Amino acid sequence: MTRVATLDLCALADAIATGTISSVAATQAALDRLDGIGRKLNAVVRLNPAHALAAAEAADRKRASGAALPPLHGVPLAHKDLFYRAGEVSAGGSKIRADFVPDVTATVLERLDASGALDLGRLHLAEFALSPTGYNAHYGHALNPWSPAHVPGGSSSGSGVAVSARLVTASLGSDTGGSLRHPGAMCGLIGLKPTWGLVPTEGVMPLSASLDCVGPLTRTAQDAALMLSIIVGRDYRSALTGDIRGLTLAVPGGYYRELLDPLVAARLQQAITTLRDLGVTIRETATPDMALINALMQVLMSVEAATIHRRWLIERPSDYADQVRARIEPGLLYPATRYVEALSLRASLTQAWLDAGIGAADVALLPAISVPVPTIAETTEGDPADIAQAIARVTHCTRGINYLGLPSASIPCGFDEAGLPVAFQLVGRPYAEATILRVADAYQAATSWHLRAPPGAELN
Amino acid sequence: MSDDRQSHMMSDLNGTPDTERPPELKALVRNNNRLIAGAPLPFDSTPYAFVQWLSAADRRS
Repeated sequence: MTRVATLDLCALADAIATGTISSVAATQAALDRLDGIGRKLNAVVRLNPAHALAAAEAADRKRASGAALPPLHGVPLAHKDLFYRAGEVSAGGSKIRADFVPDVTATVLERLDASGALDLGRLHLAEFALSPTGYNAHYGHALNPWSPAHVPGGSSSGSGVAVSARLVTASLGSDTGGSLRHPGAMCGLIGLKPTWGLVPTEGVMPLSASLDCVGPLTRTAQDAALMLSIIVGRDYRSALTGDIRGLTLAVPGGYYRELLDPLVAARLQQAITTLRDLGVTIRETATPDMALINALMQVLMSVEAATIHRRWLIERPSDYADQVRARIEPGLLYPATRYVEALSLRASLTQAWLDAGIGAADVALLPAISVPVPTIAETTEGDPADIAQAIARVTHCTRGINYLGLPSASIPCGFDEAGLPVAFQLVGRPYAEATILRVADAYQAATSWHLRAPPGAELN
Repeated sequence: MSDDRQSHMMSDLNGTPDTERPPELKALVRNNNRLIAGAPLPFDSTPYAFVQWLSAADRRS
């Protein structure tokens, strides 16, 4: 069971395809670890073991028949509890939708089904996907496998915990203001937020249609490329050549350095040095006014969320955590003119950000999170103003990127003094996912941060 | 129109419970409204400009 858990997505898919490991053995190992370690870390919402094992047996029979196999044939996965499967509960981390049963299946799940992947169940998330730390007042925090006292990052908290703790090899999450990159950075994973609109969001619980993106959390860039290839229907794996000589990396200053912790800054500098050694040219750049971009993001997110939540805000206000309701309610108060302006300014501000932040370079490197991973206590206890500040620090470098709609990913690049992961963030032009993954893959080939397993994985 | 008056009207229109909102929430809305109102709007922009811009970027990529 432990040996199966050490394999990443590509290695496990190869092992099942060649018959080195049966799908039943891989699925049973994943179910055992999800049910044991996963529940201990509060990462699991529900599992469907009977259905999963029957599908695994069918996968093994198909392999034995000599039939051609799809890329994720018989590979067990589990996903954030906001991806709908017709006829099965999808609660979105909320009390209000605890019994919601959709009548549609998410397009991305249909694409994973067609690729041969098995769906073992659903993983924990922040209430209504609305917390960068993974806060969930109703069902508790998922626990970071690197340290249970620290937040795992959210909103795709269970997905980050499950992949980091080697319970599954990959998991789908969603990102409206950093919800893939936060758990990616805090759990030591690649959290890939694709270009807005690239991956279908049909059958995914909406938060803010103009910002929501679906993407994978994985241990490696190779795994992220495999997942993205399947859910998009384009090939991203062939771009990972291992050679990034001749590329230019922009390092924007100004806003992205404002809150930067010295230790995080040192880790980022080490990553930049590694990339330079791999043949990348480094160029310092500036950024446009992020105060305006963040304000516009806030308007879009809160207005669109308040539109969805309006009836519940009226009829069931006490069924929201205060922290969550306080992020949605401002959307009731913005005039429609502000909302239309926020949409209208998007193309010109994105072009301005690209011109200033990336310029002639291929991709930009920013902090994923400017500060070390906060503790659960720092983000839930004490003065509400201090809590709000601690939460805002987490999203400082992520939320604006959602307004811009650009592709970005967290890439682990070391650890802080408490043993929690530190990560940088790569941001590209629209549809430049292949470039981001190519740089991340070359970086991972030259480093070993992504190979370290957290104590919470219980591999020893 | 003052922000307080506007908030009151919005609350009535939406039928939201007449709860006391924290000052930082009001300040956030007020500050964002001010920032956006002062932003230079392109003359021919529409809410759909971003989708068109992305579509053009996809054709180039």
